[in-house]
Amino acid sequence: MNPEAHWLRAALVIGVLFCIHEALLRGLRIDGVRPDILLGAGIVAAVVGGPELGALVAFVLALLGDLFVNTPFGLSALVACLVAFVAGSIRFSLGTHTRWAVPILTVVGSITGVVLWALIGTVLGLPSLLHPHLIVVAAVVAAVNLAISPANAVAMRWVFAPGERSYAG
Amino acid sequence: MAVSRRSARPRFTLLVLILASLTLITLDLRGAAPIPRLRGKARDLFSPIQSAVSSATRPVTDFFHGAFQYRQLENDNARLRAQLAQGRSQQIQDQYLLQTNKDLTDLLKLDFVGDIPTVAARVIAGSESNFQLTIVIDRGSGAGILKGMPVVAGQGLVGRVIEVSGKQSTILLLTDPSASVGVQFAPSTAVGVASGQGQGKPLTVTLVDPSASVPVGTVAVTSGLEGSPYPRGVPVGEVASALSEVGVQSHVVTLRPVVDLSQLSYVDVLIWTAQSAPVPAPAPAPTSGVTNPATTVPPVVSSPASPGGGVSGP
Repeated sequence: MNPEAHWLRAALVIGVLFCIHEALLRGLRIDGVRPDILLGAGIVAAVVGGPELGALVAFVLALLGDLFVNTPFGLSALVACLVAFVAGSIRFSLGTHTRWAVPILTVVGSITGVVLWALIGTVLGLPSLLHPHLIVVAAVVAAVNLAISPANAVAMRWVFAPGERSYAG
Repeated sequence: MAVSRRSARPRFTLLVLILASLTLITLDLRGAAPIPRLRGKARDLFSPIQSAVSSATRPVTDFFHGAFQYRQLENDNARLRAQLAQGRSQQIQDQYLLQTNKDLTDLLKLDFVGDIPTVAARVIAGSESNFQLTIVIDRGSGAGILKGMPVVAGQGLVGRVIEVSGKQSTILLLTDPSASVGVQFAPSTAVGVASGQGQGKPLTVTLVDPSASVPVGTVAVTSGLEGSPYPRGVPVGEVASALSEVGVQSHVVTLRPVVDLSQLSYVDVLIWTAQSAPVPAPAPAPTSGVTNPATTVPPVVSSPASPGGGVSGP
């Protein structure tokens, strides 16, 4: 597959995920927490497509999400690309196909992403982010991302076409 | 060499992404104009899709909402049944109280909005972020709404506009930790700054005179002092607790918002900004209770300027 096809597929998947997040799941709250499927999709993209491509996809997804919140523009993108890059690097270092890589890295990455967001937000001066409810937020975000990680993995494998520029087994 | 180049490229990409993010964050925090404009355009562009999908999938999202909130719904159900039983027995008394209340309200002219023009809006979304308490309404700059305008609902203050696009506005709720509002307690002359503490938590008040006595149940209204983004006299909350601090002559005062911020369907945006509003001298509130803003703050049509940042002074 030529590189343009990769990016066209990536754009399509990003568009669909963004529509699901901002339109379909906009009103969904679990214990008062809004799921963040964009973060989960970015992590899975890195696990399937490698740290570089994954970080790019995670960055774009989170930046689109940042357009619709009133927190500092680019903060979610910064966190998402960092978490995705680390997740992709870990997956890459594992080498051969590991069945549990996607779910485990999705859960750990989601929790890390939420906590990192709160930490960097606090450094930037956003008030009251590091409170006990953060645990609930991280747990809900991780659980939802875990639940949809198989679908994300299928979509990302389609985007990155295994065997070419993908680390997917 | 080839291997080292290959392993260096992902790190270079990451570095570029980090630098891009930091640049965007810096631009946003410095208030660079293109970012709010970009956000506004994106929201306007996407709002028809959001509305269409939201209408089409409401039954599904309602189902999930019900499923995920089952325990809360059960508790609400029990609580409402108890309230209903209690309500029936008090119905006759309530009718009498209602009439009395109406008479007193007319007498006191408690219409806190006064002659300030308002724009009614429907709440179309809750907090977009897990870290900020906001709501989104279906009216924007096209309806005359500007950043900084106060937002009220039936009984009092809800928050203020922090983001405006052509067709939507985002309201920062009173209970958000970055929100604060100058308050005055009636009928005493105590003033202070009420700050949000998060969802479902009461506001905490820092009193200007820490030794001032503020009885539980007292109503706090916006003080409307100079620089305040709120007009004077809008009810904010009732004193839920006023505990004396050990060893010092001061009180820890908490306020329960008069408006149930978790159940908002419609709100009114006051077409009012602080820039051109005449500042009334702080005066003792009338002995009868809540101050009457209509007599102290004439209606002022907004100026295009924004009243300022996230935290407001008293």
